[in-house]
Amino acid sequence: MATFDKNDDSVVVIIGSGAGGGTLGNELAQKGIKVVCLEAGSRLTLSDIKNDTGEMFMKLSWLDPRVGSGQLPAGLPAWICKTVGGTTVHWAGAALRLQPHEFKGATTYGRLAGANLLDWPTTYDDLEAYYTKAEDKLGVTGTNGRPRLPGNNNYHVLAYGAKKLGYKDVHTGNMAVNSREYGGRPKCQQIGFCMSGCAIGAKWSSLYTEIPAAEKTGNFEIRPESMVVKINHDSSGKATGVVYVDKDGATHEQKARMVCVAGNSIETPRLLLNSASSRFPQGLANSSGQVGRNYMSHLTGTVYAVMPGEVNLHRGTQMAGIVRDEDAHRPERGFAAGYELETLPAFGFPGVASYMKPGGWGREYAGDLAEYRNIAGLWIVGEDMPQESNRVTLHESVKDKNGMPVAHVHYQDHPNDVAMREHAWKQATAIYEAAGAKRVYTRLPFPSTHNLGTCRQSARAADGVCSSFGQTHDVKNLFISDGSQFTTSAAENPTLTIVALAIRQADYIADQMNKRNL
Amino acid sequence: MHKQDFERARRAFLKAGGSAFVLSLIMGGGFATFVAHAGPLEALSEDQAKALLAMGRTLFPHDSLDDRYYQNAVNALDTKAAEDAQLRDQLLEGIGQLNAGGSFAGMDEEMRVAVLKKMEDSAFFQTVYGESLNGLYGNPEVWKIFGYEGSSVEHGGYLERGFDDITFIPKDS
Ligand SMILES: Cc1cc2nc3c(=O)[nH]c(=O)nc-3n(C[C@H](O)[C@H](O)[C@H](O)COP(=O)(O)OP(=O)(O)OC[C@H]3O[C@@H](n4cnc5c(N)ncnc54)[C@H](O)[C@@H]3O)c2cc1C
Ligand code: SF4
Repeated sequence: MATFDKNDDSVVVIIGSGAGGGTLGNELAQKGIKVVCLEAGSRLTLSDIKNDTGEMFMKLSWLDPRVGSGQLPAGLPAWICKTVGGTTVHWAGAALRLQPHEFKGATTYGRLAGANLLDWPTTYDDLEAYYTKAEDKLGVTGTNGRPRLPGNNNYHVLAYGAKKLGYKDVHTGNMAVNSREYGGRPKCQQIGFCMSGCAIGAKWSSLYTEIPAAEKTGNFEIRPESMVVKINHDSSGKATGVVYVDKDGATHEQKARMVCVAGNSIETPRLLLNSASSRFPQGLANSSGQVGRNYMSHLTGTVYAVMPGEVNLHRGTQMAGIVRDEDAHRPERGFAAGYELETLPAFGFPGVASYMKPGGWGREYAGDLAEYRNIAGLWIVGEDMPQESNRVTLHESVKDKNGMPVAHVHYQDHPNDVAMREHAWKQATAIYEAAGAKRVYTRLPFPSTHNLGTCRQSARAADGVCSSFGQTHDVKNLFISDGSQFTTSAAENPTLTIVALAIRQADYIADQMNKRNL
Repeated sequence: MHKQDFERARRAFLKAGGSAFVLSLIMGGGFATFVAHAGPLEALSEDQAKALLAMGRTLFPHDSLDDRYYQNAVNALDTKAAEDAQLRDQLLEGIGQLNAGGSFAGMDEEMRVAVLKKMEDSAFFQTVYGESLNGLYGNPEVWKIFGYEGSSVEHGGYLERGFDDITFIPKDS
């Protein structure tokens, strides 16, 4: 394990150690490039992971203040982790590629009033080889010869109903959860607490894969409990390092040859905006005014159904079950783009009671809760439209304990999102009814778990924040290395794409360093 | 994380504007920090407590559960009301409304439901609703009764314990 001097300006500084930052750090370290990774959260080990939804939520989540508005819960607009490994400690492991047409949102969907659609400057072909690398890194099931996971009860209900309705693309998904031993990680034991952290490490997380692998190279240092508050630059407009606050409240500066930001789509724009200077009064890398805008969280929703027999949906891999037939772009359904249906558990018993029907009471509702064993559930995840007014800004008055303005996150559905959710609720209801459901509950989203788009890739500097490689248009040695890069959200869970982009970015950075362009 | 740290983090989060509802929906059990409350009553009379118990049983009727599962919420409200005069006034006023047409606890279920329907928007209703939900469904004994099985890692997960034991539909091949 290496340690680097704070004045060593030959290091690459990476902010955040999740899907984007953890992967990029390891990829660069493997190439012999020196990396200092600054992570706001603390470092846990597998033995800290308990099968307790509430305890793990408190241990892992980003609970520093944020302000939500629009449709978002005011006190907790998003569900994101603050810990070494980032949200990959918490994620469910669904690892899907985007579809080729989804990289061309503007071209494919045409003009939609109010939607700030743009084609990615990256194509599916650009990413294809990197998707394969990402799948091999994560050990994704159902890809490159790895078997899929066995289905749990919740999956069998979904599959049975879906096939009865005529859906065909139905299986246990592409999961970054081992169906057999792989990558030094054991096979999944069907423990059923994936979204509280996998206690045996069967699920990929950068916490116990990328980060220790990077440390082994001697080129990588991670500093936990180090919250970056500002990116510095010189008079030529080049990034020179970052200012961060350690766990004791002491402020430090780490010099750098290059800075890569991977704080997830809320903290990344917050940091750029907070790094405003006389040279960059709108915030760093924000000449386009797009930093923080086009915030996307996926079109989501939940459906729970009371079935005629036992499901015990808390058993087994939580998200290993998918219906993909609705993910194409078929405007005749009344909306652009598509969605996936994926199995979802209930998060503990009081969770079901308060979420399945908020404010619900009486004999029927209590009776359904008493049939908890019979409940099946799924999650809707679809492409939401980028809108300029959905955005992350610095809050005018609320500050965190370091005196840094907190993120104000605003989100409101686009009419296309509303139409898609209605359609998905209807189809999901039909699926469960086809499987014999007694009653079906359709639910609105919980706090955003997929946060995207706030520093988007664009071909032209005026339309977005960074290039196809995540390099910011304004500051050559500043990179965006997380889901903030997404030009559009696509229907698929985002993390595999974040990882593929990070591997590709590492190749680009190494190449540019060799050519002495960076 | 120790119980106290957990409690401290939870309070800090709530103070910062986090909503209890949002937390409970994504965190399930942990948030409710369930505490079993035992008597004796401090702020409420026996009759007042009975009315609240009847309200809990009307909100979430489970005939197979005996009163002690519902009593938790009543006792929690009583304890809080002993320290909080405003809450006590709210409860007493609400209980007065419950009993306006005769003893609420003595009514049949249909009548109790009719009384509660009219009060659904009141702060009193919300208070008792939230406490009853947590007091009843936050109780790990109740989870067990209704089939939530809790921590599984120490049992080797469900790989050999029924993750795919479904019987009411044919299994997909
Ligand atoms: C419950 C849940 C389930 C999910 N399931 C899936 C799934 O099945 N499939 C899927 O594709 N995706 C899933 N996701 C989403 C997935 O976790 C994220 O897309 C992914 O982790 C994002 O990667 P990231 O690198 O952008 O950010 P993160 O992984 O969130 O990492 C960001 C890190 O940066 C740190 N950080 C932020 N700001 C600073 C700062 N200023 N200084 C220092 N450090 C900072 C944070 O503490 C955090 O650790 C899920 C998310 C949740 C919450
Ligand atoms: S079900 Fe599998 S992936 Fe999920 S927590 Fe258990 S072992 Fe890990």
